[in-house]
Amino acid sequence: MGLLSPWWLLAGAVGAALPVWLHLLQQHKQDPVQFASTMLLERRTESTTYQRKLKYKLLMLLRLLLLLLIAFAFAQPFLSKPPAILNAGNTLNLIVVDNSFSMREGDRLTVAKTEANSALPMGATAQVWSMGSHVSFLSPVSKDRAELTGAINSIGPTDEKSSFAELARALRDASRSNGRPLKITFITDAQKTAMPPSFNDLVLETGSEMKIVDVGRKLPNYAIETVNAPKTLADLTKAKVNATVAAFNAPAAKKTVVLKLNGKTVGSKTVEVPENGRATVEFTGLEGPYGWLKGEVEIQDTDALVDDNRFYFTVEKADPRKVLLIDEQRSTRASLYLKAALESSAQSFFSVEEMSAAAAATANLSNYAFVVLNDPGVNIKGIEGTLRKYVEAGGAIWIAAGTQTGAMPTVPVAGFESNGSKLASRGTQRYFAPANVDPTFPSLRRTGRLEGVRFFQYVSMKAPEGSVVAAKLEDGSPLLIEKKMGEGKVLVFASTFDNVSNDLPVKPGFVPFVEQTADYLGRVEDRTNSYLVDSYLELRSDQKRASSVEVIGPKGDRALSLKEAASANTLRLVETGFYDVRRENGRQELIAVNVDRRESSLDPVTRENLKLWEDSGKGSAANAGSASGLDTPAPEPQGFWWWAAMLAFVTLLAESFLSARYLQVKA
Amino acid sequence: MQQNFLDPQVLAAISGLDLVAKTVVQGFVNGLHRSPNFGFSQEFAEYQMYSPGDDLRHVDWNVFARTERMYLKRFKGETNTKVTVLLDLSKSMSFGKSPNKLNYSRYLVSSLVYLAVQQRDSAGLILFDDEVRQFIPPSSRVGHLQKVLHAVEKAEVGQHTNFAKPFQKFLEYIRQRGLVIVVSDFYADPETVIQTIAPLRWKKNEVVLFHILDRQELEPTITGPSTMIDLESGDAVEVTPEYLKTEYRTKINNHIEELRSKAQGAGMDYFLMPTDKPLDAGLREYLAARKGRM
Repeated sequence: MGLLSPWWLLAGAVGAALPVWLHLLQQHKQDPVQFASTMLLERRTESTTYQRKLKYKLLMLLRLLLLLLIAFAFAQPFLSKPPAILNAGNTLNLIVVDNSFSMREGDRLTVAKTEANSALPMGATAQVWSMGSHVSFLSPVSKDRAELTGAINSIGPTDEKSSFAELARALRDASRSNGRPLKITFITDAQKTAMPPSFNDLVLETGSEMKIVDVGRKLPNYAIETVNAPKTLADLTKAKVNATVAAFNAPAAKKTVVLKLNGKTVGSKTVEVPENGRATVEFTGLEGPYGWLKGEVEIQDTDALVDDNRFYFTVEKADPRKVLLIDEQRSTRASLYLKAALESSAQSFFSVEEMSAAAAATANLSNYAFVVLNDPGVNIKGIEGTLRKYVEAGGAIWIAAGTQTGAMPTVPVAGFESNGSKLASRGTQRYFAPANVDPTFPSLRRTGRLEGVRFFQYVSMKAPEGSVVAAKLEDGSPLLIEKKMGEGKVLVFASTFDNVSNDLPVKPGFVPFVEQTADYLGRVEDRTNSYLVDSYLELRSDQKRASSVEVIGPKGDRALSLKEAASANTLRLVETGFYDVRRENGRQELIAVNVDRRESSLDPVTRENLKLWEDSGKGSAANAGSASGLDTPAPEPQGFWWWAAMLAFVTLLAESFLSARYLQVKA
Repeated sequence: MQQNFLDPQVLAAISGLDLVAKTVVQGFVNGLHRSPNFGFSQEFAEYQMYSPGDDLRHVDWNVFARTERMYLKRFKGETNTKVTVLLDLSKSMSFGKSPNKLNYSRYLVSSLVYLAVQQRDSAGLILFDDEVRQFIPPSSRVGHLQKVLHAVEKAEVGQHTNFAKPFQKFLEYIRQRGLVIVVSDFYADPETVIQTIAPLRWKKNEVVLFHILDRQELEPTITGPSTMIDLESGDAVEVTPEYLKTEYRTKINNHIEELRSKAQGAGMDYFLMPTDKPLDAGLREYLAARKGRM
């Protein structure tokens, strides 16, 4: 219990002194009565005082109580505990059924639902949950047995990975928000891989009673654990697909592994899988049409879990993507070095197309993976608006700032404030060396921090707020700046690629620099062959921009509602299979989603550990301490000042009645 | 209607004790429906044994001739006596309201004196507290009544009453046998009161005690615990309503009964006269008792 205005009690205490003082004063007032003779009178002092005090004390106590109750009501008392927690008998029964991927084995889920139905309490309130990587509430808190049974029967298998820590967190939240003790029946196959690293994550709120019904069993299982395949290729015949076959609690066995593209078998191999070990299969050369290909690597045999014998991945067959180089000076040196760098990589599929600014005005920029502006000057002004729109729609521009750029007040498209071109003097400082190079930036990962590169000329510019400076020169000037604009981005290199302003093109770091930058700007790096169930797919990078994204799920239905399509930033991938994603800029992607292979291990948790978890809510001092250390939401204060006011009113009536009686007798 | 006039509160509104006395006595006498001619006729009253020293003229020789015994023949007209009223003026007599005990005593004394004079008895008055404040010897002369009534009217309460002290002097004042009426609240030990008054009986005086008490003395009521102040001594005693309702009433009743029994044991008449008691009722009792004696 607490008080919102405790200082009112002080005022009440001072006010209570008034009737005490008045009654003390009255006690000492006694009018003498003249009598003919006291010869026959005897003194009765003790009884006199006692009776007087008794009568007046009752009145005084009523007045004191009245003042204190008024002060108490003004102090706004409240109960910090929810009323429900006072009712210890008000237990909430929770029936939690594990429906993670591993429950697909045999008839585990059917047995679990039968156990859940038998665990339903008679006439008590209960709620049905299902548990995978997240907890789902399948029914309201209800006593209706039909409703609860229906909720249990509606539980179906999912592709999610079970997480006991997530369940324990949800149970703690439920215990706090309900304010009453929980009686939990958890039906699960108790996979060891569902256990969190720390047992503290499993601790239940004190007072929660948990019973774990283990419907699992230790079974051998084989699964395709991983698949490595190229993301985008122009020539599929050169592609290599590596798959790992894993044996979980399984003996050594020969397994036939099949590779399928768009449902058509393109390869088959037999592999010897060691006991509890892994074996790798490599397929060389793929066949298929242009565009996105649905790839599958599958074990032909059946075992405990059939669905993890298949692994989905995607490959994009496409012509080399074009990179537009806009160069007003028609200098062959920059394009030469760029082309050489891009085409030298085995994985690269970019080709450089050179064009003037005037010609670029009529070109469809969305056909290009990204655009390179080599030393953009005044002439670029005509297409600057087009370039900006291209970037904001998701495109990318790489600007190499030369002397023409330095002559302009701002860098075109990017809008950076330019301080002019800087040249190394012929005196003591003959060149500028790069410094503060961020090796984690995608363009600079394998460039050796650009060591040994000499810069003789660069454009001094001011990096605006919100931009990323990936590298600086030794004098502190930004060398490589990235700025996001809308859905796309602009990368500004403060020098050129012509081997005049600097000697980077002839340094070992140049090819990785160009190649990585091309992958980064061309969004090749963003792609992955496959996602795991429960991972999130980023739908849009610019949250302020209203753009529609369309996602078709593995079963051919729309994964997003209309509202989500217009505003959702991410999509949670909940099913295995292929998701077709169509972004606002018209770009289409195919996403492969697979089950987390930790679900493939059917090794159960020991009964002792489950017992420890069950006992964690029984209220030992250590558990209580750890539970209290969690982020406990403050309970809502429940005021009851009106009860004090009502009591004060009743006291006032009693005081009036009693004082009226005294006055009557006195009169 | 007549009864209303004798109510003490009504009497208190009448100015002049002579008028009060006349109102009481005449009203009372009218109410008796009997002749008031005590002592005015030659009506035979009684025979009394002759004792040496008696006047031989009163011997009924006819009886002596028949019985050879000497009897004195007494007539009512010859029973006139000297009535002396002793009125207590102690401060406790000022207690009470409408009327207080002293005023009530004034009406009573006036009525008794008036009644005595009407019977041709001689009436005297002694006012006393610690001392004898005033003494008017009994007389039946014309104008004596007014003198007595005036003294009664002017009487004021004095100090504490010491029964023993003034009564020793009364013996000096009352030399002839007669009727002695003591009007007091008798706030003393009954034994002491009777022992003090008893010597009056030795001279063959008839003694009548009128015990005047206010209703508040008999049945006191207070609302809460109070400090009672003694009017005479000024002593303070804290009492409770419960005490006054129970123990005190028992004690005052015991006091009255003891006084009554001791007085009667000593040959005295005792009459309790609460101040709310109509005077005619008190006088009726008194005269009934007196008639029985005569």
